[in-house]
Amino acid sequence: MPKVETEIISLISQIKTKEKGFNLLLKTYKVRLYWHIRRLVVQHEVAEDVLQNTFLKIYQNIEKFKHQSSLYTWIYRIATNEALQEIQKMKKNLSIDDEQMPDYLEGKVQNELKYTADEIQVFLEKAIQKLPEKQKLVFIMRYYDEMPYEKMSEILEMSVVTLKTNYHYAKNKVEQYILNNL
Amino acid sequence: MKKIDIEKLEKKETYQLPEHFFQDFEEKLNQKIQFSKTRKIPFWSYSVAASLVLLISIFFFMDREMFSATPPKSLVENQLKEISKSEEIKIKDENILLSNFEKKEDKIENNEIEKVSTYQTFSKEKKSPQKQISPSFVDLEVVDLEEEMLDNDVYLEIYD
Repeated sequence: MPKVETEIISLISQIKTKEKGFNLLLKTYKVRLYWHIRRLVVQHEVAEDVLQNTFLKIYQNIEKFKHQSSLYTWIYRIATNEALQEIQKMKKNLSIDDEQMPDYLEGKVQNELKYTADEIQVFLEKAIQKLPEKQKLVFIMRYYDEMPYEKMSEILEMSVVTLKTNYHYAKNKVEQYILNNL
Repeated sequence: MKKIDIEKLEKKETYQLPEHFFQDFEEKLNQKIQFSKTRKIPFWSYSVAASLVLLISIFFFMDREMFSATPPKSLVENQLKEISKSEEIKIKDENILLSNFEKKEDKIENNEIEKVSTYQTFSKEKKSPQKQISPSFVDLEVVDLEEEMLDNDVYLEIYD
């Protein structure tokens, strides 16, 4: 377990230092969690809401953390669930199904990217949004967060073999998309 | 055929991000947490709410019992109907009584004009007590009663 995690857990376990522990947790993970969420939901405003809900849930439920996994794994799972729930809400509000959602998110990418972004980066982001939900999740966790398959398995409750297969398919689809559009 | 390996690409953040976002985010979140803390409902308030509900429900049931002790609305309505019926019967009987009196008056007029005049004055005076005659009397009984009264009149007159 990383030193920071141990420190956060020990601070949070005492009522007097709970606030301090939570602030340390916030400083340590906010950036990583934000980018994980942002790649899933694309739009900044949505990502901000999801991140806020994630930290509120962490604050309210930190006593329930049972140390069965690392703190980061636990936090990451909350963030992922919050983001997926938000995508479900978006589908409901927009009255679109699972097949239409990737097209909708792909359409949102262009407005959210920096003007300085490379053409290949633009296609990469668009290709990620075109992936089915599960493959997109696996791809983001593996490609951007460079998370080990074992940790991914804990968070997504999927076998390592399934995760590897999903990543392989996702990577091929992304590369094919870029090649077709370049 | 061209090939591309995305793992060899440089991983950059290509999405736009507002300036000082993470700093502002911390402040916003802390504000929200403070707000949620102040809004937290104290534990004892649940027991207070439960006892209030219990009290209200007890009062509600007590009220219902009190209402059930008084006669139901339909019963009251029936009683009122019966009263109005008996009133109608009374009025009918009075009308019959009056008509019989008038007939009698005619007879007496033919025979004893003077007596009739006294009878008329008497009948006018006695009209109001006649109203108290029970509605259960049948017409014939009422006529008999009138005749008796008439005799009494005569008697009274003689007596006077």
